[in-house]
Amino acid sequence: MCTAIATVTREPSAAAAPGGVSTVPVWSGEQIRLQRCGQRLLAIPHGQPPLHVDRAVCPFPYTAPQDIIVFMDDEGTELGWLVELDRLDVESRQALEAVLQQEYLMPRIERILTAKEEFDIITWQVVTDRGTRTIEIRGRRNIRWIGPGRVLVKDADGNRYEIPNVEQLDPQSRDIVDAEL
Amino acid sequence: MGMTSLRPLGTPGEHQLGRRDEPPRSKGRPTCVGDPLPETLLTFLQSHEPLVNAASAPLSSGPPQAMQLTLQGPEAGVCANPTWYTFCSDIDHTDHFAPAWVVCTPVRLWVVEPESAASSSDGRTGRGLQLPRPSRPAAPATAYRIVLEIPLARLLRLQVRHLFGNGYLEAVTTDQTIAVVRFSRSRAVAVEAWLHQLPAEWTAAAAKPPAGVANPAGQARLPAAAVVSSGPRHHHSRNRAPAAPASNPDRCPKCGRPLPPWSDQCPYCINRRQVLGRLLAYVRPYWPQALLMSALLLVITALQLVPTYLTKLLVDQVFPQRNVALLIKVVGAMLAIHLVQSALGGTRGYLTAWLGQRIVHDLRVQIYQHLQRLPLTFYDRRHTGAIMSRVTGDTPNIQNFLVNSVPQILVWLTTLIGIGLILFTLDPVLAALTLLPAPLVAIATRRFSRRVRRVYQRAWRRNSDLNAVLTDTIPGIAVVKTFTREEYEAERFAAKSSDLFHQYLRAARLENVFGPSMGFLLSLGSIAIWSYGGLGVIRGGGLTLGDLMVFVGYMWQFYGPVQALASVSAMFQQAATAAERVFEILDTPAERLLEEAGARVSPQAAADRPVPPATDAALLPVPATATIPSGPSKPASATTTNRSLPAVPVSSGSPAASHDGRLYGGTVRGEIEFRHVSFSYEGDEYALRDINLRIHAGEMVGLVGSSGSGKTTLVNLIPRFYEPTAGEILIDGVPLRQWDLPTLRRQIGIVLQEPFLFHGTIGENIAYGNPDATPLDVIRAAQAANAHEFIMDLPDGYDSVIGERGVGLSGGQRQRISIARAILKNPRILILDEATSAVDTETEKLIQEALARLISNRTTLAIAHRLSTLRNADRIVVVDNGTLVESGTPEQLLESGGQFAYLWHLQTELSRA
Ligand SMILES: Nc1ncnc2c1ncn2[C@@H]1O[C@H](COP(=O)(O)OP(=O)(O)O)[C@@H](O)[C@H]1O
Ligand SMILES: [Mg+2]
Repeated sequence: MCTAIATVTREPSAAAAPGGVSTVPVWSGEQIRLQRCGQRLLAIPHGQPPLHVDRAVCPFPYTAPQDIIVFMDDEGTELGWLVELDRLDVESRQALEAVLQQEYLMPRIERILTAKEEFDIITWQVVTDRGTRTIEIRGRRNIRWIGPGRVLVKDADGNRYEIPNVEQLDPQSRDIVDAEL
Repeated sequence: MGMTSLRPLGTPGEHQLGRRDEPPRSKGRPTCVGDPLPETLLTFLQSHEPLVNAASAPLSSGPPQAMQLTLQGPEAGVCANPTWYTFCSDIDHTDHFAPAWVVCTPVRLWVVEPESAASSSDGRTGRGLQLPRPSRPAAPATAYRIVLEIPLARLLRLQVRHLFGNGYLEAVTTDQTIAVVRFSRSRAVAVEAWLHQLPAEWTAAAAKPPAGVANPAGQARLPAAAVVSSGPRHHHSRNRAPAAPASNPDRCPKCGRPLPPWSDQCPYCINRRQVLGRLLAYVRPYWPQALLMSALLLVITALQLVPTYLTKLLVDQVFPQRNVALLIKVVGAMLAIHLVQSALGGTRGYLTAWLGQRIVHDLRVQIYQHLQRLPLTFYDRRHTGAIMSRVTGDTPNIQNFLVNSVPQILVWLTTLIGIGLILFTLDPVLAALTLLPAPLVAIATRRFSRRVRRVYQRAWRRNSDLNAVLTDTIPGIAVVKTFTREEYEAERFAAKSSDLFHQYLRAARLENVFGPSMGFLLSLGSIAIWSYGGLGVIRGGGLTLGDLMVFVGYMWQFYGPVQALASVSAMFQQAATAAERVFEILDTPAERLLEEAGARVSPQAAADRPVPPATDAALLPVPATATIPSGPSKPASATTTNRSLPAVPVSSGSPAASHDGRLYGGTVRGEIEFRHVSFSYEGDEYALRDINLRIHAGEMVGLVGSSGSGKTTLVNLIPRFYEPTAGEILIDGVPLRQWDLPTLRRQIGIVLQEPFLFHGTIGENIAYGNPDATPLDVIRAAQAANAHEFIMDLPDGYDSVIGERGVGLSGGQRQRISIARAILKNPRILILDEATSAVDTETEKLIQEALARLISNRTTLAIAHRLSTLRNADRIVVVDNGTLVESGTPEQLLESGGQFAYLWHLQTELSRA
């Protein structure tokens, strides 16, 4: 279905303004329709030609993931910003969520089985909502609060894990996390 | 292309492919390139693609050169072994952490997963997948399931997309784009490497996109390889976009373990014994003292065991025999022992302290000396506090380990062995009973000490959090007040403090539960000895009351070392970490060393480099065009100097070339030349690009450009705070590398926007670069800097102490002191980096005057935000985005209407408004 409009070139209004400062369209949820297009997204602003969105990126992935989404083309150029996500129609919202779900992999840590620390490298064996895994963290700077009770863990490879609520962990796991915060 | 990177046979895949039991080698047994396939999976897949004949496979062009070697047996010429390209991802199609195999055969691409992968345990998803280093083997799955199959005939290309925390392999086929497999960032490097191993021919055959099908990803095809890695590189401008890892810089390239957050070196790959040996080397100069100390420690420990044994004599012989003579002897012995013990103990204590302080002093001084010589790049990458804590925190750790822990461990071990021997000779059964719980006690202690350490660690961290609040807000109290955040800050502090309080309480609770419990447990042991041994004494089986008392006494002496030794590994760990952190500093090459390396290279490099054309475009007064012309132009007439290379300056105080070819001492004329200089702080993001600039001796050049354009970077290259990435800089026609570093820096004075004054008196600060200056010199300099008057207004005059941050002086005053400092240094080359940006207009006039005096007769590079301050410049050079874009006198540039003119009008308009 997305091949039909695949020949449409990039929307000219998205290009950089002549002054050198790029102005990017800002769409409210009700001003745009979104469709899945393979692994990517097709954005159809009302009354305008559709755009191929290569990536949908959250500027505030932890603190405000639902407030604003930036659409980018395959060269990393911003095509536009999407705000007021709750005004999207149901299909568009589903399409967006599917793409975001693909873009952002942040398993939730449910339990920490073992913990070890050597040369400031913290090794945890964790149970996540996506299975068990051993993660290696370079120093406790990579374990940090990102909201009340919420903790972000970044491992040596750049994978992100989330502890949605430290309070709700079992005492042992909580103890381990607490020691690093 | 890509063929050379094919992994040779005999890589880890080989043994997995089973040479041991020599299964009947079928003709079609594939050779795996990539991650080794488990035998069960290989069998499973072969049943789905039996006896593939590579030669007849639809899309396979003949196997590449390297693969020819894999042909086996006499039938090799007839039927080639197919090559399978295999990659094991760590995320399965349900997005769970579980293995998923991508297998590319000559006819199709498969994704295969072990059955019930979703419920798999860590045995399968564990380190074997994430890390190249060996770990326990994955439990072999027996059942597999094909989750995706793409005929190669329909595959146009494979590409990788790197996303946030994951990525996926994408197949573009003749009719759609399919996500093949997802992988976490732990496999991102591996998947790229795997893609590059794929033969380009496979997909090149189907290169032309079928009519009517657009390229949904919009990606350009690479000419040779049909594999595309997309995403990250394009998003380079956006810092938050995940990067495509060429290799993971956070892991050790040798063993794959993560590097410590404070180091570029893998502590595991450095020989551990070497670290210990290096540590012990600090003791070596004091080996007589160390030996004496250890000997004393052993004697003291041995003496500690004697009184317990003497009680046996008392109970078994003195009292039953009413032997007064023996009593006197025993008591006398006890007295002597205690006396000797006290004396030796005191000696040992002093010796320990002496040795410890001696070592820590040596280490501290060595680190500090080295820190002074490290290049600025070392400091760019590290937090000041972290570096400081290595001097103040890690050295005592090392000292403690060397003078306390190491001898103590020896003592504990000998104590254990000694007591064990004594007890077993007295009564083997009772000895066994006494010592049996030792492993238990050791294990319990080990576990407990780990928990306590964790709690204390937490407490220390809370403590440093608390300190961080202080160091943040006290210096910034004005900001707090301006934003009326006093309440908030007070609450924040209270919360942190209360947190700390609870952590310490917790530690206290733990310790006070464990200590008494352990005590009770051990007293159970003594009760057991009393009951069992008591029975023995009553029945008279050769065991005496004295023996029994010896047992109980030694039991208590025995369990101390047991508990201590149980936590010895933590001790080693702590010391090793501290040592690594210290050695990391000491192992970073100093500037001097860099320089020597440079000096060796430089003559050769200079010879290789073609002599640049006589353009020196930038130095000409160019009626400003957009860019600096690189074509030939006539040299600046009046100031042209002798350009013979390398020109050793000839004036009376000129530097002398020494035997090593470097220039020492004397002064320079101050001609500066940049030749095709490029510089990047990191990676391929250039802060300066192909800078060509020649500044004559005594000329004043103003550097203009927007913030971040590279002005500071440019001037920082002159005193060699950083080394150019390409090109070279010459002073008086001699490359910087051939200058002795101190000689060079003595010629350069720098005045920064934020003057940094050291703790000390004003006089000391002015004379900082010139300790031999007389008081008169200092005052003259201060006068020239318009600083004398306000200094004289201070009660202590030049002996007024400046606080840590120059407390009590205004910004303008501090700036004038720093100018006086520069004047006294009397440099030939002067660098002013926004020297007047931070002061009010009133003071600015004074500073301008001071600077004017400073500038006269010196080569000056002035960076100024306020362009009006550059009116007197001989020449203005405009920097934009790392390149020189305009050059000329202020008048010329204003006339030509370029960027300088634009900025100028902007500022004059602003000041009018
Ligand atoms: N120590 C550093 N490490 C990495 N990048 C730096 C460093 N200092 C400056 N940069 C970068 O180099 C560029 C030029 O900076 P700078 O020379 O300070 O500009 P200017 O002085 O003209 O304002 C900027 O993009 C800046 O971010
Ligand atoms: Mg600057």
